[in-house]
Amino acid sequence: MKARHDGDAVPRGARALLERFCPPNVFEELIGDLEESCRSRRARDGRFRAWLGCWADSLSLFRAFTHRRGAAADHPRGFIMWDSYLKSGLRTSQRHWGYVLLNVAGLALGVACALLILLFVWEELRFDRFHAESDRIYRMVQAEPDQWDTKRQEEMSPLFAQALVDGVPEVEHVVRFLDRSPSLISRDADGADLRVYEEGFVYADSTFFDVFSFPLVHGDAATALDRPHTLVLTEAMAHKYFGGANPVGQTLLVNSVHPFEVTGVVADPSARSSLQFRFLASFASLREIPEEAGMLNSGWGVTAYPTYVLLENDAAAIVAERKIPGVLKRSTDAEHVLASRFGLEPLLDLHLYSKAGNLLGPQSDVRYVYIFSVIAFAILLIACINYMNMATARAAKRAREVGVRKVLGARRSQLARQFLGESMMTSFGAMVLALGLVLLAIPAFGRLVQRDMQAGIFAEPLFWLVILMFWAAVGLLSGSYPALLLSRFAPAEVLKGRLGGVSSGATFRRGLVVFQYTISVALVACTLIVHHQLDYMRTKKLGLDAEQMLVLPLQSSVVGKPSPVAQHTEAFRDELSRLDAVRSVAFSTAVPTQRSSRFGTQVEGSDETMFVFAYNVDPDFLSTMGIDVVEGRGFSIGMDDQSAVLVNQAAVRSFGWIEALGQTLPVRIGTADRTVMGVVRDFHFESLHASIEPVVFMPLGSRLPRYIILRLDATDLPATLQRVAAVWDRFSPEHPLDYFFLDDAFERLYQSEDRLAGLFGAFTLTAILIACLGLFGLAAFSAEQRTKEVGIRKVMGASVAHVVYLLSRDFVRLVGVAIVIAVPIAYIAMSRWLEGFAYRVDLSWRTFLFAGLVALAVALATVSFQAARAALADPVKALRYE
Amino acid sequence: MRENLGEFEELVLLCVGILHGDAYGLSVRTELDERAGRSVTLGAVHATLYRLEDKGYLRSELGGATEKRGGRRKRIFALTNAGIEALRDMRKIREEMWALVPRLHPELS
Repeated sequence: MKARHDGDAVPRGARALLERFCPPNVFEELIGDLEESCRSRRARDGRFRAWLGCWADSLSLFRAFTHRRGAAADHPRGFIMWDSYLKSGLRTSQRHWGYVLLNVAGLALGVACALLILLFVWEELRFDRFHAESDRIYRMVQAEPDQWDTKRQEEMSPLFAQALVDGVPEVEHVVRFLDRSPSLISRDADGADLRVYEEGFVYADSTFFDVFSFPLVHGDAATALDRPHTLVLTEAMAHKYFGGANPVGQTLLVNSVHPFEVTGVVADPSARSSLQFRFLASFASLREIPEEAGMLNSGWGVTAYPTYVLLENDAAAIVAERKIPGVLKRSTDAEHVLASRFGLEPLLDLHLYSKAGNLLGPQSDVRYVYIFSVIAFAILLIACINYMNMATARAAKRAREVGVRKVLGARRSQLARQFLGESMMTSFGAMVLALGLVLLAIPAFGRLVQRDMQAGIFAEPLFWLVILMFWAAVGLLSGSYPALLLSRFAPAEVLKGRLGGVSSGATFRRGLVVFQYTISVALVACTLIVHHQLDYMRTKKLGLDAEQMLVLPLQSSVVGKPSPVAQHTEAFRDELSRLDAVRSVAFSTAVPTQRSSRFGTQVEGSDETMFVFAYNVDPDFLSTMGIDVVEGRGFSIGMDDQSAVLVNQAAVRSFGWIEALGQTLPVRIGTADRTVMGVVRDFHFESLHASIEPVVFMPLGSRLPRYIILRLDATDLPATLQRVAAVWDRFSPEHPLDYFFLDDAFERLYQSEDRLAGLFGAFTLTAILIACLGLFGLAAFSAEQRTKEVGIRKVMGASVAHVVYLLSRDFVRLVGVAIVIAVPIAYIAMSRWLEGFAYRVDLSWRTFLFAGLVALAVALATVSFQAARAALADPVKALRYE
Repeated sequence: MRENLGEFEELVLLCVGILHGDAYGLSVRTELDERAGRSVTLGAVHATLYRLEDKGYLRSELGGATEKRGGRRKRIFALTNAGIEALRDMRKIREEMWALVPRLHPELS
């Protein structure tokens, strides 16, 4: 009888499959039968039939062994064991409740942070989606062709609307807006004396409700904005001015002169709307207001009206866009209009992507969405890593438990399941805790990001799906490594007290610590730099002195009858100057941080259009603002040449002049030619995002000013304010005083950076906290592991300091590596961010050093606490420790 | 209580009985094929054998007396007393019922 090794009869693939999946105890008998069967097939049938039949047999065996029970003490159904796991899991937790608490807290913190950030990101992404036709609404933008990618504007000429409707069939409706905030609103004369300067006063075309989905509570959407001198209130404003009653039919007085009939009440615009308003006045009214009518009729050169269109379908945008130049050519000859580039931007892109800003509401940047998403992910990762670290570190303690279980017959998969189950349990607890934390933190978080955050997301089914995925991901991710590691222990070795052969995962743990600290260090560095840039922007020399500058806007030079103050500027100035605290007074038509008019001109000999800002100022303006004249002279009282102008240094550069004095301005402003009589030092009038643009100063002459600027003494500002208000009231009893401080206005320009800094700071703190929690646990564990070693060293004469050094050395080295990795990453990221500012700080090595030191110090503090505790312990007890 | 015996299971039990001491997966399959004309996959046979063992009608042990299969031991199955009982019961029930069907009545067929 020959022993034939004819395993070749079985196809290789089938054999491999069986080897992989078949439990070892049944494998032998099954493969034996299979080999025999295949051999006889080979002998009996043709090659192909034999092969086919053999494969069929092989696959059928799968059925056999899945039913076959395994080794001794096996349970036919897996879930019988779950309650035992639960019990042992709970008992383990109770014994090491400190560690468990640390773990759960760390996880919960990480998940809560990630959830908050995701909440924010979700809000950002859902802007403007509530409109029924949101995918068909577009906004017109224009820019100089070479600035198309960097700076666009949304203000259009009012003539566009009709031209578009006539010339572009893809356009169904057009809505124009004009922002006239703030306007003075007063409740008409029946004794109620509510008079307030209200923001959010916007004129809108009658097609407004056809395009946008803002539901009306009272009134008829089809006609509410048809007639002149009508307006629609938001619910909040209706409540403010009319209490609970239906205000339709009532009248409100605007700027003390113009009665507007209330034709409707609209629901307050959601926080997720790019269009924010409190009063919607009919566009038709503008024709009946003399000063506004003038602007409406001045043709294509005036740009002040944001214009939105509703296209017949969302694919029509490109077609419509291409028709615009043609439409323009038919309507106007104005060169600088034809030279500009025009486009249509989707409404849904407005909030995050548009380069045209948003006059009517808030705007953000998609980069922040990316950054915050990354941060959320990073924090979650750190928290999971913590758990992994802690669990594997404690593995050694449970090695004996694992050994015993294995001896009792637990299979590797069962052990893995047990540990995964434990981690799912922990992560469940953490999720519950995290949700609670999030609920508590939402109001504070809302303040931090300066956005009205609501817990509305809890109602979305998608949210709960995400939570479920979180739970699964966190639980599985965190539990995977410990499960894998622990189930590998060989029971015999383990019971003898050695983890022999298998590494206890120390290298991996070290890697995780490095990763955690890399993220933390990078975050710290970024936070420092963001704050640095913000500080810089706040304190940088603006070229003017913005402190204690009180600005009084005079609204009425645009709408309604002129303010009495504007008509009696000299008398007003005299009265104000009599106040001690008022150091100087000036008048002008424009002020830094507030939008002002621009004039455009074609540059000689090229296609480019150049824009300059125009300020009409009185002779005291420059001195009041603290702006230096660097060449020539400033304006003086009783000046002869009313056509003389001043320019800033940026203008000199743009015009390419070597010698500025006496030059004629290439830009046409008004009728006469303008000659330069002086050059003024550059000053910032916009945020430091933008570089300084050319400005032309012209004498105020007999024009009515729009702003009064006061430089005040620093002492007792509130009292001074009151006195100024008293003077004002004497001149203009009907209009209450409206004012702002120039430095506040500059501050407001940096709102989004402020918010970014706040968020960065908060999350950096969280990331560091979590990393420390992890390190704390690890250090505690490691110290405990080495108790005997410490005891021996102490007995041999080591000092406490030396022991501390020994125990901490390892961890400090890890943090050092983390710093080395983090610095280049942070450097690159911050360089990219700073590129968005025309004026920025330099990235100095000092910042990074500081960040590294902070991380190091924190890590040291954490570790040495544990190390010291171990070092100070009684060596006798240590030596007895088992 | 005792569970029902499927028709296939009954056949397999009978084959094990026939093969008396040499009943393992492959031999049972061959026996089934030859005697009952039932062509089944190897896996089905093994699965049934295991199931019958779980039910207590068969017992098994690993290892043939001689190493004929290139070093692979095989699992030999044998009927237990319970298995024999089950077979007898089935036969008894069947015969009783057969007797009640006129056309199948042994004396009249």
